[in-house]
Amino acid sequence: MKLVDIRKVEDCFDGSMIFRYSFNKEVEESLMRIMGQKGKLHYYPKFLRPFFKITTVEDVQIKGIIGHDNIEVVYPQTNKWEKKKEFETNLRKCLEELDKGDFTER
Amino acid sequence: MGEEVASFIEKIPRHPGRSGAAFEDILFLCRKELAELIRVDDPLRIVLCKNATEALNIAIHGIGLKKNMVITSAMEHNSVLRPLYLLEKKGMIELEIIPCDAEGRVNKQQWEEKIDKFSPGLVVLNHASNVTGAVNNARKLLNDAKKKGCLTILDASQSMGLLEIDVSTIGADIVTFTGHKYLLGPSGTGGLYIKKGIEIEPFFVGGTGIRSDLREMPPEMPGRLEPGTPSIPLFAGLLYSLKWQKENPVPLKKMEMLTQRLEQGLIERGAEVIRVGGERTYIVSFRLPGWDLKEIGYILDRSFGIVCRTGLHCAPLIHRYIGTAPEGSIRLSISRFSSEEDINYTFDVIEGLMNETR
Repeated sequence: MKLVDIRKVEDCFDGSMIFRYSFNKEVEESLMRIMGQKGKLHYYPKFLRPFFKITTVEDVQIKGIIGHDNIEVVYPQTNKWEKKKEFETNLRKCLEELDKGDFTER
Repeated sequence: MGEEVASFIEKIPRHPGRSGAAFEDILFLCRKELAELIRVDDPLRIVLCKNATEALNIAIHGIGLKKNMVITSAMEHNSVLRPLYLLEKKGMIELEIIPCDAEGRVNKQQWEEKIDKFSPGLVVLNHASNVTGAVNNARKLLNDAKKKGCLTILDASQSMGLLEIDVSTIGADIVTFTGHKYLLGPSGTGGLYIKKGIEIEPFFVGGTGIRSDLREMPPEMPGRLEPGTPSIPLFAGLLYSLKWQKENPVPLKKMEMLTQRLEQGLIERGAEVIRVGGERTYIVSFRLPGWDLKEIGYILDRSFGIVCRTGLHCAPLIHRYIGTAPEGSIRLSISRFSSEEDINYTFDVIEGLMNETR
């Protein structure tokens, strides 16, 4: 699975820091669970299209829909650019782990 | 409407002011329908542009305010507030913003008091709130201002096509509107009515296809305020929708019933609804305790396919008065095409969401 696009998403508020990360494939539960290891995962599998959100220890919020080809990430105001860089490094590692197929649920 | 727009995109591009070819003047026919809708005698007093924001900028910047006091309300959209803030920043106006009540209507008493006190050069009033749906008694508020000699602008973006607007009685010198809401036209269409005798200096200037040898914009209305090539396909779409609406009046009773049902059902399921009494448009603003506002918009849209909007709705001031500051609200809109099934589905989804928090 490859990351194909990173795009800033605007909302109502000045200074908000939201990015959409798009992939070449649909997000599946396996990727969600790998990313979920980095924080607290809330998963709502009974929703019409299952929704998940992950809040990392750095207070980065990740949300997505299983079956969609993107996730949205909200960065906190403090050290937002460092946190973005760190998240993206982690995301690439998660994608590598997914591709290797050696993920086992913990 | 989409097919009508597409058919005009496929036609050879021609503009009535720039081509000798005889063909239907879409823009004039559009003006004629719009004039009929708000009871304007002369369709040439209808200026067409791309949205209500552009219409409001043409009006607010073109009126020629010089050190005037301007009064507006806290329920306004940024399409009103930002042009006024800009003029205030340039030192061209003093701005007074009248608070609104908990339903989102302008405070009548303060409106009257401030108009009496300042005799402002201009008042700008929202006909209906895009956040709560509360409708102002525009006729009373604007005619009060007219008695004090003010110029008056009515922002009818949320009401034109839904509520009756009669320019001969409503007290507005200028009425601005958008095509993509209750007029059912495509986005990218809008305009303004300017009363005879009100002079607006062009905010945009350029080619008009007529009197091109002049250095300035020609005096003829509406071309004086319409430089550049308009989107004939989009206005053909708007024209189609205006004609369709005439044959298919808005089912007000059904929309009112669905709105009340939606409001009541949301309350019963634990939502904090901004309740609106009296005259209103058919939108419902609310919050869901236990859910983050941005998250809920994302879930409703992407998980359940419920089109909604969350946040400030480009009307940042009203939230201080209706209890939704600083994040704003979730807004659902009932259209003439909404059904009982849509409402029932929304209830099922909201119930499920609230159960997740218990």
